[in-house]
Amino acid sequence: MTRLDWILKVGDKKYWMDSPVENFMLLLNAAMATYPNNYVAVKDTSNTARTVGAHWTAVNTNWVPAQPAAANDNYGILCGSGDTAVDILNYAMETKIANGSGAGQLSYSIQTTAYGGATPNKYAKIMRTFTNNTANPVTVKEVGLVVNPATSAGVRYYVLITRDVLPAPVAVAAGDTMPVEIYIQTTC
Amino acid sequence: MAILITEENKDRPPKQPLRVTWAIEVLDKDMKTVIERKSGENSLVAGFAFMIFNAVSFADATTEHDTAGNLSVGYQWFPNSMSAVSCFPTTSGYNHGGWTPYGIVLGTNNTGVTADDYKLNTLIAAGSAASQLNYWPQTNNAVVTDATTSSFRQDRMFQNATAGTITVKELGFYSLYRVTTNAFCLCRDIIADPGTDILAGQYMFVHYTITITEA
Repeated sequence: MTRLDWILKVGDKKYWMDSPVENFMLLLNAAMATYPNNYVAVKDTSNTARTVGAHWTAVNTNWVPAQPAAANDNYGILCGSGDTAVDILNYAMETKIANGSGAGQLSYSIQTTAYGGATPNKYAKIMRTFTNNTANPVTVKEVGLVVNPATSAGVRYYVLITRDVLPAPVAVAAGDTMPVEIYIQTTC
Repeated sequence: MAILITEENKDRPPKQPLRVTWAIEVLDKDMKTVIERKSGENSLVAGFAFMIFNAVSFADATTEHDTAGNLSVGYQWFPNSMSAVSCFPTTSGYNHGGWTPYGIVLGTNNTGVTADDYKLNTLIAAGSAASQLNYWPQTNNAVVTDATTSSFRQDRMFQNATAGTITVKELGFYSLYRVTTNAFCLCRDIIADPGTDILAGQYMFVHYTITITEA
């Protein structure tokens, strides 16, 4: 028997994730449909229904157009300060921590991805770091993953596919950098 | 809520956020169910992680073994409007439409599953010749969501149009690549000996269900 583990690493702590939300299933289902039935209505991060493609096309490029750049807090791994329990219908972070160096903000790095590992632990990994360039600690209570699929016309929207509330807040001290990694990993 | 990984729970999460389960029915010539079986644990393999990786990581040239054993790039591994090729079969999927086998597939070798399985051990070929099964088109059902779960099911019918019995001992789920000549294996499951027989003229209806669960 093998299984697929979802692991979140925040700083030096690891967590079992509890987090794919309905949007993830809608995109996965559409990806598994036969062309041209790969468009699906999801809720974007503004709670608006959007019909987007879950497949590869010239304008869609799977679920993201590219890895989010540094300072982009619209998609990719996001941090937040909300701690309301995850609901399967969540479409946004409860309280996103904005990118920046103002009070309560974190500086978002570019996101990177990797596929690797060795049997029995082959994994997909998504990585991003968050730096506190403010004068005071910033507390992280939730972590989410947002993708950026496109409509058939090539218009992109932000769609939350995972959200996890941490069992205890993690404080990023002034001047510190906190790495966040999501592993989707096979295990025997 | 995410759960801190500790010495006590490091080997296994308290629950799986995403599970894949299967069920099979053997039907007689009158479409009456004569055998039903269900899976216990799911057997997702590396190909599933690879699929998610490619969904969220466009243009990465990372490779994984396809069902022919070749290392193939997966960055366009999703249904593809460029050539109207789909990774998962529906109306064009009868006996794979002559392409590399894809969708739900059956086999005869129940050697144990490992995470790096990239194909079924002994695939039952599509057709009506000896030891073959007719693979019907596959159905992708809509997502159903309730308060704590969200799931969808894929179904496929197989027909034994031969004069002999065919014994199924493994099943899996292949996704076709954007070209029609290779595929990736998402999961592989086995049926313990003596397997499940499909007698001459009978059908096997296979259901794969993917489910996420919130605590």
